[in-house]
Amino acid sequence: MISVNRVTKEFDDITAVNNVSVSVDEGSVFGLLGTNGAGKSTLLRMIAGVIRPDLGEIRIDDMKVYDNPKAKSRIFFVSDTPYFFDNATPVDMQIFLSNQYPAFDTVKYAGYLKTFGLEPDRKINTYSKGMKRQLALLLGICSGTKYLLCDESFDGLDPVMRQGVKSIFAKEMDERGLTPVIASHNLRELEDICDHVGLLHRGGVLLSKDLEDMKLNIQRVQCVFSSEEDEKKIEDGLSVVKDDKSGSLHVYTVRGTREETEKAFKEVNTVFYEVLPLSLEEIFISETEVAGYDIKKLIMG
Amino acid sequence: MTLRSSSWVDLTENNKRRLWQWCISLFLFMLCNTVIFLVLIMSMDETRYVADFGSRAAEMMMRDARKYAVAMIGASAFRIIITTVMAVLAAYGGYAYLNDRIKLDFYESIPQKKSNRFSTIWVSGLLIYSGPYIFSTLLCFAILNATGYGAAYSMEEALIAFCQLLLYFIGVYHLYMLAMMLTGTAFAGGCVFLVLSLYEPAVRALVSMLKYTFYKYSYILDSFYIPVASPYGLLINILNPKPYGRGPAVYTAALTVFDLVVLILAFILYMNRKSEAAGKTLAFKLTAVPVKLLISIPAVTFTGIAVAEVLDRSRELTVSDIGLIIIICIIASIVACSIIQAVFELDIKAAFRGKGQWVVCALAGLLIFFGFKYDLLNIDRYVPSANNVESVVFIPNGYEDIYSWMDDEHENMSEDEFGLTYMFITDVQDVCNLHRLSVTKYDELVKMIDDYEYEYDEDRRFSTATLIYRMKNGCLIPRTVYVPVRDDNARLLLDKIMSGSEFVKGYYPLLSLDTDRAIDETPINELNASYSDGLHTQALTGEELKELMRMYKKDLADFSYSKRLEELPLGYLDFCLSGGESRFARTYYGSSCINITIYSGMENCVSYLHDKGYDFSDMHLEEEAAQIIITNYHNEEQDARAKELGVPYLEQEEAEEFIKSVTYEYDADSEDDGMNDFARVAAALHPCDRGTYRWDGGRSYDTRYEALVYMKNKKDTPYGVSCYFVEDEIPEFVMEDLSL
Repeated sequence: MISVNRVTKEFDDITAVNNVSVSVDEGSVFGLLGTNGAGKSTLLRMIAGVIRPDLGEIRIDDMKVYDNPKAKSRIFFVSDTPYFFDNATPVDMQIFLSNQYPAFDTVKYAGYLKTFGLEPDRKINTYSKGMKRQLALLLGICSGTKYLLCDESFDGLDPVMRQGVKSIFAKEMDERGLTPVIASHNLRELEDICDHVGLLHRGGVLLSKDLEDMKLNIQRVQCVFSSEEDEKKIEDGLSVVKDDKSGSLHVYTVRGTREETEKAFKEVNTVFYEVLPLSLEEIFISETEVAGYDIKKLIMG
Repeated sequence: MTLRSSSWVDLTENNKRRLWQWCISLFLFMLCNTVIFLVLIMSMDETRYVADFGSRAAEMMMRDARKYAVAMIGASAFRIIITTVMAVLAAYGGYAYLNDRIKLDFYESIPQKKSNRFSTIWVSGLLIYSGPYIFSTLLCFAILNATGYGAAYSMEEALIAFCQLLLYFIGVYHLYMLAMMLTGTAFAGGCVFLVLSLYEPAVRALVSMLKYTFYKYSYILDSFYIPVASPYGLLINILNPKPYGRGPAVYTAALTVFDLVVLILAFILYMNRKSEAAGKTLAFKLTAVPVKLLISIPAVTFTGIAVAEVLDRSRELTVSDIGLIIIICIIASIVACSIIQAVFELDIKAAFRGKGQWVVCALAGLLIFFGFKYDLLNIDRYVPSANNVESVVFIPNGYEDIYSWMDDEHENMSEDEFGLTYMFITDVQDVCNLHRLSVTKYDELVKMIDDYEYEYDEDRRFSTATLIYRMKNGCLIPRTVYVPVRDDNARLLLDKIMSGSEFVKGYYPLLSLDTDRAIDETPINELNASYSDGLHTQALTGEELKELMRMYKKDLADFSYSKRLEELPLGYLDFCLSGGESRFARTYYGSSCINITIYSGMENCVSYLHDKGYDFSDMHLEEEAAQIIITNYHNEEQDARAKELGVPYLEQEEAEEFIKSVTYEYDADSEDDGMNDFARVAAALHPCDRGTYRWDGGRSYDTRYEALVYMKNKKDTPYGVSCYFVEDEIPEFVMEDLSL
């Protein structure tokens, strides 16, 4: 497990990460969401042991990570701008990294290169930006580490490639329990891949939740009440996050399971009610609006 | 799963990334060093050597092969340059990743301890330098052996040179590493390296400027400019050991300690350097203020000197001058601090931050400036107590027309080096007394000039001397003194000091030289020895020169200072010796030329010259000369003007306005002048120009009258020869002929 406990990092007068606590469970895909400058890269670089937190602690499988090769051997960090040696080929990178990560799977690497159409002996500096990102991800996947930290790594990948990488993630998670941590400023990039999402804003964590839980625990209900008394009963009985009223039609966003919500509405007299599903985007809008933020402006791009 | 790869694998991988540095190292050592050495060795033409040296050809070829080997295999200037280049490249190439966020993300995230990465890069740098160095050296030895010069240079010498250069390499390497740890960009790293390398010499230069500008008695030793806290300075001291220095072993130890201390510093900084420092000018905020002050304060002091120079008030500053200096120094402080701050933050708008530092910088800079200007610490007039002095070097500048110095290997030396090597006057009380007397008398003179009360007086004459006190605590205190050479007390002291055997032994380069050996070692065709009285010249053979040197050494021991005061030079001896190996620059050829003055009172020399028929004192100028043209420059008007102004002499431009020279010709054949006048003039003239200036203020020529003598024998002496009258011995009719 990656455990980030009350971590703060300042750069000169700017607080890049402010008292952040997040934990990443093994075997899940953790999405780190936030605007540019929210502190995603800083947090990932701290998790990777590249920079040291000013305050707080980061532990990888209960080991401190900074300047600790044992902990670092469980992490592969794919930076937002991946670095490759001058004039190196994918094979050169594989040779170097297989010396650093003894679990590096060269056979798998060769296979993936072929699958993705990346020539192993071609100089990387002749690759396109997207190809370099693919290669960096493949190197990370094949390094055999338990955690794969991806900083905006899906930006620039075409949908086919994204799908391909997602499949590999799924396979690796299934085979050896890979835990990818993916930072992105775009919710749509993470929606279909992450199990858990942490939302960073201005260096702090707005929320960190399991996506399924989020989906299951928030509902949207359209209804028309018979009386004001019924309306009051619902508003008192349920955790209403939001109420958009148009004439006598209420559109509630409420916390709770579908069953709990339906049960509550069945107990009052309504002219009409209907429980509707929420998209991840809508869930985030609701959650962050509660906290006083306009998520659309923040991350919908 | 292995947690980290082995050191060997790390090293191999690191070296793969640094192939370009290997290429440069191989290019410099193999192509530049080895190929040049091969070309030099192959260029040695035996036929030419046989023609030049006859039976000694083989010996001379071996000597030259050794010179080439020393230059190309030893710790020569050539290899020092290569070493410096490689040290900078190795440090930059190894640690440049620290300035690049993308590379940092990559390297810092891989499972390797920072300390291991540091040591891997460090070792790689060492290999990049020493691998090609050793290979190149072995190839040079192979060339020597293949060409039959194997004995020219030993493996042991090469090993010592390698160790010395390796220590130097490590020093520069660590210094550049330290610069890189302190900064976050390549440009800033380069600048800080230059600051670290040049700061000490720059401060030393500033101190010497302050002393030259404001101190009357300052003297800066040549060695003052060699930085102490620098691998380069320490290497020079190792390679160029001085008898008065602390010896190569001490400097080797010092360089080793320097290397270690800088390495430890660099390592500590590396371990504590934050990754986010990449791209910033300074990696550690803490260093910003000290760096700013350390650069700005000397800049403010320098500005003060520059303003004082422009104002030409190095002696006396008025209140308005002081005000102006303070204002300009404050402006300099603001400008220097602002520029540095802007560079630190890479933002021009940040220039005016840290205003408190402007004040500190201006105050400190001005304090140093005025500290020197008004000698607040009484350094300039300080005369050491004889009890604290072990021995002293006393060099009367230009005494006996000695201006060049050589060691016992007949290599040129500086005056300081010579004095500190050969002169050990232990009876320091007289020197201290003379120093004190000189300071008192010269201060009186300066006060008179400042008060416009100065009147020209030939007896108030000062000659400069260099004093270097060797203190019992090991320090050297150098001073320039203005000796009142015609003062009775000074003359007594000078006679005691300069007639002493320690002074005689220490002052004359020839006394420390095995002249017989030096003359033997100089090829016959390179030994140009002659004796001349200024008019006649006689070439001397090696044997004659050796014998004359023996006579001269004998005479010197018995030729007191006071005796010399009354004598005029009879003639002078000139000769050059071929140079040995220059210890540092390893020049191919060098020569040291010597000229010594022979006085009529040097009985052994005069007797020898007389016996050989080389004593020209019995030659009669009136018989040999055809025409004498005398010019009187009438300096009295200049002197009067100088007196009016209260200065010892006029500046050249002003003096030229007062020149009203009169010229008169005396011809041997002219009936108008009459043979009598011509003969009397010729008899009164002296051809040897050694008497035009006498440090000791003794008997000398009157330089107001200059005679140009044209000889009857135009073949040997086609041009006019300068001759002089002795002071107070100018015939009256000559003075009349040349009056205004």
